[in-house]
Amino acid sequence: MSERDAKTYVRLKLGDKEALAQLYDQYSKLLYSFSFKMINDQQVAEEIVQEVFIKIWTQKSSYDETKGKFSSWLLTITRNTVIDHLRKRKETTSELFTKEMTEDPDPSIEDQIEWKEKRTTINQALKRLKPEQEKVIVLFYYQGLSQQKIADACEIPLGTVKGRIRLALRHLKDTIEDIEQNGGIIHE
Amino acid sequence: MSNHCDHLIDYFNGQLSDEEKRSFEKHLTTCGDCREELRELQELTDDLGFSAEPIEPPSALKQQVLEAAFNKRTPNDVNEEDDNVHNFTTDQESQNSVVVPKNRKKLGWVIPSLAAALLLSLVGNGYAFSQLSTQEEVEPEETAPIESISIDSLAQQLSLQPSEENIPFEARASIVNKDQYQQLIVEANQLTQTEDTQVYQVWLLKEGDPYRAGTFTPAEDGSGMSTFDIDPEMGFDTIAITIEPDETSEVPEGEIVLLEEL
Repeated sequence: MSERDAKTYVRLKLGDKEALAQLYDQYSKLLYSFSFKMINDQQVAEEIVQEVFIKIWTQKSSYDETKGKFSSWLLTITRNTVIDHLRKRKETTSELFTKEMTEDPDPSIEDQIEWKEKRTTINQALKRLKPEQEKVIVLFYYQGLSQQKIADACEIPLGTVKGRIRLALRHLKDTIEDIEQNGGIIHE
Repeated sequence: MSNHCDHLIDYFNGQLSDEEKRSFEKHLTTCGDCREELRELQELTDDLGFSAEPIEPPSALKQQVLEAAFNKRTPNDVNEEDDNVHNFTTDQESQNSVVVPKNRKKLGWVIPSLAAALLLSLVGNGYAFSQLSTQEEVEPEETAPIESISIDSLAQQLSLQPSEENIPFEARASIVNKDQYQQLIVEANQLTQTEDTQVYQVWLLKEGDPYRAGTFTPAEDGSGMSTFDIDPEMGFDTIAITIEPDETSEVPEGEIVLLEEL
C-alpha cells in the first residue's frame, strides 16, 4: 500500500467523505474495467463498483496490511462481488470465454502506466500458455466457476481440477516473470 | 488429505453453501496444506485483475456511488444493524478476502468482530473520556502524597504529518513509559486559531477504531499541547488530530489535520 493510499484509507475509516471520493477517483476505473471483464455487462459493472465502494465505506470489508497490496485487496472484493452476482443470476458464462480472449489490448490513451504494463504482461503471458492452461485460468479466476463446472468445461475429472489450476497459475507466474525480465522476447 | 481439501477451489470462488463454508473454515484451522494452498492461490492471482482493458466508467457514476455509500451508515456509526452481524458472514466478500491467512491468525471473522470491536471502542471512548475528566479535576500531587517515584523513559517520539500539503501545522507526539501506563504528549505549533467552540482533538486508532486521546485549544502564538494516559496493552497503530466542532465528539466528525502511524 502506498503511503498516500494508507493515509487516505485511515481518513476514510475516520469517516472522511473526501477520502472515499479520492479512492473512487483513483480506483474506480480499474474496478469498473475488471468488473466489466468478468461480467461483460456495463450496467452490472456499475452496480458492482457501487457495491464495492459501499463495502469499503461501511467497513463491511476492512483492509489491513496482512491482506497484501491495497489494489489487490480491492480487486479481490470486486471479484467476489461479481461472483456473488453471477451466482445469484445462476447463469453459465462459458460464452464469455471466446469473446473476452479475442480482444486486443487497446494501446491508446492510458494514463496509468503501471496498469498498462501489467495488463500487457499478463495478457502476453496468458497467450503464451498452452490453450488448456489459459482456459482453466479464465474459467477459474475470471469467471469464478465452481470446480464442477470447470471440470465439465475442460472435460477433465473433478479431482484433477485443483492441480490443473495450481499448475496453470504457477506457469503463468513464471511466464510473467520471464516477460518482465526479458522484455517480452520469447525464448523457445 | 481429507474430503474437505477438495473444497478449496469452491471456497476460493465462493461456491460453497453457508454450512459447507463454515465446515471448510473449521477445517482450515487444522489443515496446514489447505492454508498454504489458499495463500498460494491468493498470491498467484494477486495482480490478474490488472489484465482488464481500461474502460472509463460513466462520469455520473461517481456521484451515484458516493451518494449510495453516504446514505449507508458511516464507518463510525453503530446502530441496531449490529444485531444482524451474522448475516455478514454469508457475504461473499467477507469469506474470501479476509481469510487468506498470511500468518496463522485465528480464522475468526473480522466482519462480525469488527462491529463488536467498534461498539466496544465507543464504550471505551466513553470510558476514556470519563477518565480524562476525572484526571483533570483531581490534582494527583495533593490527593496522593505517598505516590511512589516513577522512572520515566521515552517509548516513542514521532512527527505527525499534515494530511494535506497546504496544512502548515507541525506536531510531535511522544509516548513516555510510566510505571503502570504510558503517557502520550502531543505538542503542536503554527496552529490555526479555532473558532467558537472548536477544539483540536487527538485520536489514537487501533485497526481503524478511534479512541479519544486528548483535547486542546491553541495558545495565542499558535502552540498547543495535550497529555493523555494510555494503556500500552491497547496496541494503537495510528495517531490523528482533527478539528472538532466542540470537545464532546466521541468519534471524529471534523477535518483531519495531522496523521501518523505509530
